[in-house]
Amino acid sequence: MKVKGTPLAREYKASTIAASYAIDIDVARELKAGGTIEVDDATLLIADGVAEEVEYGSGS
Amino acid sequence: MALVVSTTREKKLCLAEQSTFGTAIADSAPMILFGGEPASIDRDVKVRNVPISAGSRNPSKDEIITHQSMAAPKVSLSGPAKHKELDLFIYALVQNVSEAATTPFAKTFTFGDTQPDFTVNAGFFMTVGEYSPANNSAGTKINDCIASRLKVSCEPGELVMFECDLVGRGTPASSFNPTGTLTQTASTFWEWAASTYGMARLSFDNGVSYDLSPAGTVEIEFNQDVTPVSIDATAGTFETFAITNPTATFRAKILNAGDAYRLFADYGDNTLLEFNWGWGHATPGTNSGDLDFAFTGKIVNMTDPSEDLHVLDLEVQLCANTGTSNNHCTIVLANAEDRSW
Repeated sequence: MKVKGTPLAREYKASTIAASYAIDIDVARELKAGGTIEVDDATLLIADGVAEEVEYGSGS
Repeated sequence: MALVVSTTREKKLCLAEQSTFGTAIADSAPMILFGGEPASIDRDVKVRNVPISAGSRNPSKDEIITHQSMAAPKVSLSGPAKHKELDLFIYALVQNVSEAATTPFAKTFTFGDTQPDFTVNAGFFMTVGEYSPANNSAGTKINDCIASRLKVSCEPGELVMFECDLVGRGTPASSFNPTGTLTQTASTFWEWAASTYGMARLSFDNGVSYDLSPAGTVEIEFNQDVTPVSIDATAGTFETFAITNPTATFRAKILNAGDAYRLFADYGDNTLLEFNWGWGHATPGTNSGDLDFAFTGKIVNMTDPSEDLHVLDLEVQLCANTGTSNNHCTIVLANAEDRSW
């Protein structure tokens, strides 16, 4: 599933995001920078507001 | 009891980034041995005199009350800005960052943005300890420190200096005895003029970019109100910080030559200007040692002192470039240090 980082993600350290959501630190950095990442399960990331689903056809 | 005397030179100031708000770095953990000026900790002890409570002629023990309820201890650190320390103080102030994944691990900070929720371990906060080796196990340690003020300045022919006011949370520990490794960061500094880490640019843009020639001290000062809010009953202190009123001022003495005269027109006609002050690569964050301040603001004072006609005193109040943006200033610092930020 593709998601992209929200402004809220920028408020956390990449290490905190990586530990909280069991993702790689560089993936967490990408999320903080507002980039798009692909994860198996983004439920918690979206629920906590640090990521949002990339809309189909958005080109991201 | 043997009298043990220690001097200011022997005092150690230690820093370490915390991962959990409310949990100070353990004495046994590694810390940075701060390489700057000596500093004293303000423990924020409140003193209340109640001279009528005992009804005696002389002050009694009940008439002087000291306490540390809602203590927000403070310490001001200053000194030459080191490549591998300044980013800690910038983050402690700005409270948001993006860090590149590869060396030189460029960090991009945005001043004036929204504040993080510290209670869920967002943002940046650190433990600051003060320790005298001759006074074993009697050091002071403050946790959850964030910054209320940061000034970065450089005088002609000098190193870049910094001053940072830190505010912590709760009663400081008074038995700090660092047993972990204390490491000094490398003595690598930015300078006014040097081949490697000398000032690389000072410019303004009013639609066209013009270079300015610094002729005296150049400085940027950030301030914000750090207010204790809510109650943490478990810790017996306040719950978190509210960060409000972020403001910043840029001051410089510049040579009244070249295109500097154009600033007078911008001063008088309410022009929002872009400024850039930096060291290192023209694309900040490319090389380790890059440091760059890019900001928008308006000139609020500009004079050409009659006694020194070739120098202009410039003062700029930073402001966001749109009504909805919170961004006053973007700071980029690259120091080849992977902070996992």
